[in-house]
Amino acid sequence: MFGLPLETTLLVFGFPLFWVLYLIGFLVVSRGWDKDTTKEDDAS
Amino acid sequence: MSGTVILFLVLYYVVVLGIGYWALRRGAGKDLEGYLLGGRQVGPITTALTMQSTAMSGYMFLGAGGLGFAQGYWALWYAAGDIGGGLLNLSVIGRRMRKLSQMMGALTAIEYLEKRYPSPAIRLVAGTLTIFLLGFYVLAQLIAGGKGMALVTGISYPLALAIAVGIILIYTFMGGYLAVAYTDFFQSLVMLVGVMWIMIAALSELGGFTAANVAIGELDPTLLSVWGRGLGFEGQWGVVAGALLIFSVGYMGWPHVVTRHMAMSSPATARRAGFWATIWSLFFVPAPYLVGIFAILILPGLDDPEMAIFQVAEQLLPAAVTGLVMAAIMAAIMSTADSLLLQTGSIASRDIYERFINPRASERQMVMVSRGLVLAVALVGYAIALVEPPTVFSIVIFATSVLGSAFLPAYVCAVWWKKANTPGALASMIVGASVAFIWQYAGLVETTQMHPMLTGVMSSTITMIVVSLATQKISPVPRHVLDAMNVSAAVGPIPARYLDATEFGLANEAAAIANGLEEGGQNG
Amino acid sequence: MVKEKLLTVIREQVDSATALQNIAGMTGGVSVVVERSVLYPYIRFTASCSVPTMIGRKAISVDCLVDGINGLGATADPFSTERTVICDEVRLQSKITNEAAQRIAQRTVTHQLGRQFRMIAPFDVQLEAAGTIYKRFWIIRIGGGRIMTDSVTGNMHTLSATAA
Repeated sequence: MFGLPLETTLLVFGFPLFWVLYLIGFLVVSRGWDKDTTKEDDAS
Repeated sequence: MSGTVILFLVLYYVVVLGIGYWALRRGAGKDLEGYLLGGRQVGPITTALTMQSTAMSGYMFLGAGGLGFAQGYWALWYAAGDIGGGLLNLSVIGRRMRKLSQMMGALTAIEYLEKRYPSPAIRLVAGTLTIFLLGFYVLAQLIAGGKGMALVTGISYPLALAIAVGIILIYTFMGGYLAVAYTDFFQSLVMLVGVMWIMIAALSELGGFTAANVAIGELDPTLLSVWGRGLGFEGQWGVVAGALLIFSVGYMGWPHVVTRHMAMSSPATARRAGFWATIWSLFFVPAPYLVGIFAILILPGLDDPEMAIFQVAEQLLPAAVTGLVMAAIMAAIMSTADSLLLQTGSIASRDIYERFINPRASERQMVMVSRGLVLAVALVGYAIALVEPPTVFSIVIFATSVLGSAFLPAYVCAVWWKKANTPGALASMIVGASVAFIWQYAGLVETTQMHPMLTGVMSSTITMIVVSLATQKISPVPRHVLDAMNVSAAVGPIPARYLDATEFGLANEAAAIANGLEEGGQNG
Repeated sequence: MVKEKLLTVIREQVDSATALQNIAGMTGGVSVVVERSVLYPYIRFTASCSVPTMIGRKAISVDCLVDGINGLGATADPFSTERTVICDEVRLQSKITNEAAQRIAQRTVTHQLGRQFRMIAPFDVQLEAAGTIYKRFWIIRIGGGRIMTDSVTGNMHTLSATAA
């Protein structure tokens, strides 16, 4: 697509897509940031 | 450059200086932030914009563009990591580091390391490494500033370089008014518009993204591949891995990035800022690389690849816009150089001079030391930039590799691993820096096909783990550090919305009050 | 018989009812109650200096507070105080000596201004000691845990529940 070979297309669009997903995941997970810390500290 | 360009360039500076002058002349109290009582929150968009404006520097305009021009789509491996670098760092260590630095009362990133891994050696090694490598980064900005100024004004490179260095030094020694938030915001806005304009102009000149790629493919199909011009990097996953790591985790070594975590006010603010910063990065990180790639078609006769973006701007934008955008870029470069020199000076005076040489140093003496080092860095930088200027790209990659390799395990383990101790941290910093440095200079990149960043990070991480575990008995992590790491003990059924609103700045008071109540406090 | 004491306390912007309301609003059905208030000590200084900038000197006057328990210094927005008699509140004792606090304040103001103005220039900071002042924190119990609310900014922080 866009006149680019497949691998390049993956590079150009794949990583941004990855980071968007990561961002969404981060926003979801970080809703309970402090709770995670509590568990981690208790467990160690 | 045409007269119109220069006119608008000068106009830009007049406006900025005017804003600065006005802001400075306003009432005194407004300029200062309170910490204990203030709790002032800058809006998340402003924060994100200001954050990103510090990222716009010589690397972006020269290094990234130059790499795109030279290697085609290979350059995007560097962008790929960079897009998420801020978010990655924030999500992995941001909040924890904020808490820990607050609890331990650290003012700077280097002091933070010494408090977490108590030992003078840590401060000395971290401080020295950072000064040395920040010096390289300053060099990159000087070269960018000098070249940019030579291009814009038409004067010779040595003279332009001298002027750029002179302006930066004056700015750093006398500072004051270009340092106001309003000018940063204005600058970011101009560059934002400028970069978008350049990008759109380039695309429309070439008939669109697809048409441009097809044309490049006809020129040399390898430029469209992910392996670089002539497939030079084909199959070199070790180099690719390094490229990905550089601007994703490599930033961990940069004081200005790490310090940002230390200034976070609450999880909610950090989340929002991280969100906006990532949105920004998605659009603006790839842009300079792409413009560099398109420049292959627009400026086929370009002899200095690192001038690609400047020349594309000059060629495609109306003269007035070119003037404004060039001015904003130059200002960004000088502002970055100024920040770097300030940090270098501060580390030299506080982390080295006051800490090790003269603990009773007066503020004046520390200023002298700061200025002395800044002058030295600027002069050495000038000499190198004049005689044998490396590319901005190579300098920044080198400096980031060494700093990132040296500090990544130290900062990450500081908050995630209770067994990370002083010997482990010290060893990992020395090993990481050395491996990255040697890998670069002994030319091992070509023979092993592994990027110095990759080998550096791997060796420093392994060293941290092995040495920490081996020395647990003789050098355990001190009780007070473990306590500081444990500060958020069981809090009961507190809903997430509340936890979001936790003000990190109150961590010390909270701990003291909790202790005080336990001990029975003092009534009346 | 509880001894009474006259102290300088930072004038509050958030009273106990408001603090309670803010937290109750966030916790849904869990019960919240104001347990007590705690007075936290800070050693106060007024710093005046003349900062050299590219366009002449700028006179700055700023408050600096040194945390009385752990010695951390910070510049502060303008605030007002009042002399209050306290008798039924927990007051934490300051542990930092005035000399130490003075040094800390000097360092804090210089560091902060240098960073704020982004320059490396010498300037003198004149410090005027202004005694020990206190800030009130509301301690609010939520179910099994406790939260404290800053009576000036309304900001919050959890308190570890070891004493629960």
